[in-house]
Amino acid sequence: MQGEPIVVLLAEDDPAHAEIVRRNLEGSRIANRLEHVSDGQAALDYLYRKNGFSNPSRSPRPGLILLDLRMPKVDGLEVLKIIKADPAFVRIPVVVLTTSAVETDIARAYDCHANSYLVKPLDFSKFSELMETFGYYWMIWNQNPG
Amino acid sequence: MARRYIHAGILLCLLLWPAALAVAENNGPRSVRVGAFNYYPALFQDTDGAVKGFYADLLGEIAARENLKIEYVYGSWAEGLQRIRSGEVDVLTSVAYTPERDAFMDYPETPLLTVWGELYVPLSSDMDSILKVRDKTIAVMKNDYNGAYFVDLVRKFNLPCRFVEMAEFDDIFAAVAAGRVDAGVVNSTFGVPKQRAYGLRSTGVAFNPFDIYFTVAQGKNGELLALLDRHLKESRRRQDSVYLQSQRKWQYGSVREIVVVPRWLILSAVALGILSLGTGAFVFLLRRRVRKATEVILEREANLRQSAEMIELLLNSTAEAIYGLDLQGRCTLCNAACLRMLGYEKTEELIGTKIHGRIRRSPADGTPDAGTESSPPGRDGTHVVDELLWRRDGTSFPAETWSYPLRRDGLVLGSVVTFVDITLRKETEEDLKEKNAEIERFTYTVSHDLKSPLVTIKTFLGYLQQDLASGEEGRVQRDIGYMETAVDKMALLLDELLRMSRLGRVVHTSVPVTFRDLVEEALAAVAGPLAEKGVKVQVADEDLTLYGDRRRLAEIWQNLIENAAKYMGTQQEPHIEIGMETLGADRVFYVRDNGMGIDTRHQEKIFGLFEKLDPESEGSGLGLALVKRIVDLHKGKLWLVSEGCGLGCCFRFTLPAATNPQGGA
Repeated sequence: MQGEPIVVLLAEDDPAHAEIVRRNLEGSRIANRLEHVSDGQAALDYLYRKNGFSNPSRSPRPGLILLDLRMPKVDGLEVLKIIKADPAFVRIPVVVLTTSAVETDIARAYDCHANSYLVKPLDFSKFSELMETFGYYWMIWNQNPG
Repeated sequence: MARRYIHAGILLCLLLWPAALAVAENNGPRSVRVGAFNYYPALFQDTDGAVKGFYADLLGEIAARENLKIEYVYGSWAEGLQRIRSGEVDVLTSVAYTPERDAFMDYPETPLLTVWGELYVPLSSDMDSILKVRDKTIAVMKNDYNGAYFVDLVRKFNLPCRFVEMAEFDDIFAAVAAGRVDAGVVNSTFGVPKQRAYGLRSTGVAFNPFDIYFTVAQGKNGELLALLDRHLKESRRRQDSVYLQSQRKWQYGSVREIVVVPRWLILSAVALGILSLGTGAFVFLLRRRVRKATEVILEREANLRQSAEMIELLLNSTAEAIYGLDLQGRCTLCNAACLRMLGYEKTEELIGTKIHGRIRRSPADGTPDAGTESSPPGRDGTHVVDELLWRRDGTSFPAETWSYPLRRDGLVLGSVVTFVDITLRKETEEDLKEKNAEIERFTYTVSHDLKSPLVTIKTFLGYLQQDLASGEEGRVQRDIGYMETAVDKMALLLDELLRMSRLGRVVHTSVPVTFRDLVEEALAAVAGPLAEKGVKVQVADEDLTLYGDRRRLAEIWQNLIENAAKYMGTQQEPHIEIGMETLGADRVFYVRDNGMGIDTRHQEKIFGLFEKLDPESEGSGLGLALVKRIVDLHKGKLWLVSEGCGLGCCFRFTLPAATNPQGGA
C-alpha cells in the first residue's frame, strides 16, 4: 500500500532463526528491508546509533522491530523496556518473536507494552504461514505511525 | 436422699416397738389364787392390807414373766389347807410334805425353803434345853407340822407340859411376849426375823428340819405347778435372783434394796437397748458413710493432684511455648518451652509481669509495643503466622502465635497464648523458595534453549525439501549446515544438563586435598586451550588443605581458568594469576586475568544458566553457573571484580565448608 519499504529490525541471537525470518520475508512479495542484530545490546546500539551503527544510511530507523526474548548481554525484555520508555521509539511497533510460550514471559512482554507476541512454531509450513500473515498484517494492513 | 429417710424410719420403728409389745401382752393375764397365811417374812399381810414378803416378791416376778395375775386369799394356815382342798385357791405356800397332805395336794420337785422348828422364849426365860419344858405351857400353831412334831418329841421325852394351839405364828409370839405362855414353837423362817420385835429369843432347841413347797390341789393345776417349779429352780440357783435377795432382805432385815425390775422398766430397757442398738447401727452406718465419703474425697484429691501433675508435665514437655494472661495483661503461667525460647531462667521472672510489653515490641527498634499489651483475643482467638518476639537479651526471633480467650461461665478471665519459633521454618522456606526459583529458571532455560534448535531443524527440513525440489545446490548445503549446528547445540546442551544435574545429586566422600593440588589438576585439564592461546599462568606459593570432593573442587578452578582463557580477546600477553588471601575470617580464593573483561552492566547475568555474553563464543554458557553451584554447595560466595571492557577481570570466591570443615557441611 505504501510505496516505501518498511525497515524491519530483527534482534535474534540464533543465526538459523534469523535466516528463517529473512527467507520468509524475502519469499513473500512484500517489499521491505531487514536489518539483523544478534543481541540486545546490539539492538540498542542500532537504535541509538552507537558502536558501529552511527551511519544513518546503514542503520535506518526501523518501522517495526522483531524482538527475541532470550539474548546475550541484554535480553529482549530489557530492550523492550528501554524502547517503550523512550519517546523517540515508543511508537515503533515491537513484535516479540520467541520460542517461549511460557505465560510469565507473555505477561511480562505485554506489561512492557509489546505490541504483539508471536511464538515460533515447530512446524515449517506454519512458520512460513505465520511470517506471511505477519508481513501482510504489519506491513500492508496496519497503519503505522509516521 | 432416700437412705436418710430409711434410717429415720428404722429408728422410729425401734422406738415404738416395745410399746406395741406391751399392748399385745396385756390381753388377759391368767388369774392365779394363792392361799396366804401369816408367814413372816415369806408372806404376810402388811398394815396397809397388801400381801408382802419374799414369796410375794417371787410370785410377783413369776407373774410378770408368765403373764399371771396373783390374787391372795388371806387367812390362817388351817384355812389355807381347807381352801386348797376345796379348790378355793390354786396354790398353797409353805407346805411341808406329809403323806396325808400328799393325798390331796401335788408337790413340785423344788422346795421353797428348808425350815425347821424352833422354841422361842422371852429374853428373861432360863429355858435352854428341851428338858426345861417340863410343866410349862407351850404355844403351837394349829395344824403346823412343826408344832405337831414338837408335841410328839416332848411326849417321846416323856416330859409333862401343856400345849396351847394358836392360829398364827404372830399370835404365838404375842402370847409368849405377854407371858400368857412360857414358850412357843414357830418356824425358823418366821422366828429369826421376828424374835427381836417381840423381845424373844431362841432356846436353841431346834428340830425337824424339812422342806416346804408351793403346792396345788391334787390333779389340778399341774401346768401351774411345773411353771412354779421351773422358776423356783432358776431363782434358787441364781444368787442375784429376786427370790434370794428378797429372802435375805426380809429375813435378816438387811437394808439392802431389792432389785425389783418392773415390767415397764424391762420394756424400757429393751427399748433403750434396741434404741442404742439402732443408734449404734446408725452410728456404724454413719461412720461407714463418712469413711466412704472420706475415701472418695481422698481419691478425688489424689486424682486432682495427679491431673495437676499431668498438666504440668504436659505443659513442660510440649515443644510449643505457652503462657497465660489475666485481663490486665499480667502473665499467670508459662511453661518450660516459653522460658527457653524467651531466654529466661525462672518462671518467677515472667509471672505477674506484663509480658507483652517485654516480648512484643516495635519491629523497628525494639521499644515496647503498648498496643498489644492487654487486649484479649476475640471469640475465636487470633492467629499470627509471622511476628517478631523479643528475648530477654534484646534479640528477636520470628514466631507463629495463637491467642485464645480463657472463659468461665461466659466471662472472659484472660487468655492463653502459644507460640513456636519459626526461624528454622523461615530459613527452610527461603531455601525452598530459592530452590524453586532455580528449578523454574532451569526448566525455563531448558525449554527455551532446547526448543530453539528444534525450531531450526524443523524449519530447515522444510526448506531442504523445497530446495531439493528446486535443485538449488547451494541452499541445500546451507540448510544442512544450519541443521547440523542446531543438532550439535542440542547435544552439548543435553551433556551439560546432565553434568549440572549430577552436581546436585552425586556426593563423593570428603577428602583432604591441598589448594596447589587442585590448581594443578585444573591446569592439566585445560592445558590445551592455554597452550593454544599462549596464556601464562602464575600460581601463588601459599598452600592450604581443603576438605571436600576433590573432582568437584578442581572443577571450580578448571572452569574459571577455561573461562579466562576463552575471553582473552585481543590481549597480546595473556596472563592468569591464581591465589588466595585472607579477608576477615574468610580465606578468599581468586582467579585473575588480563583479558577482555566484562561490561559492568552485564556482570549480574554471567552466572545464569546457559547465559553467554557472546553468542559467537564456544560452549553452552554453563561454566560459570556450574562454578556458582559448587561454591554454593560449600556455603561460599562467588563474585566478580572487573573494571569493565578490556580491563581484565577477577573472580573471587570463598569455600567455608571446605576450608573450615567443622563449621560447615
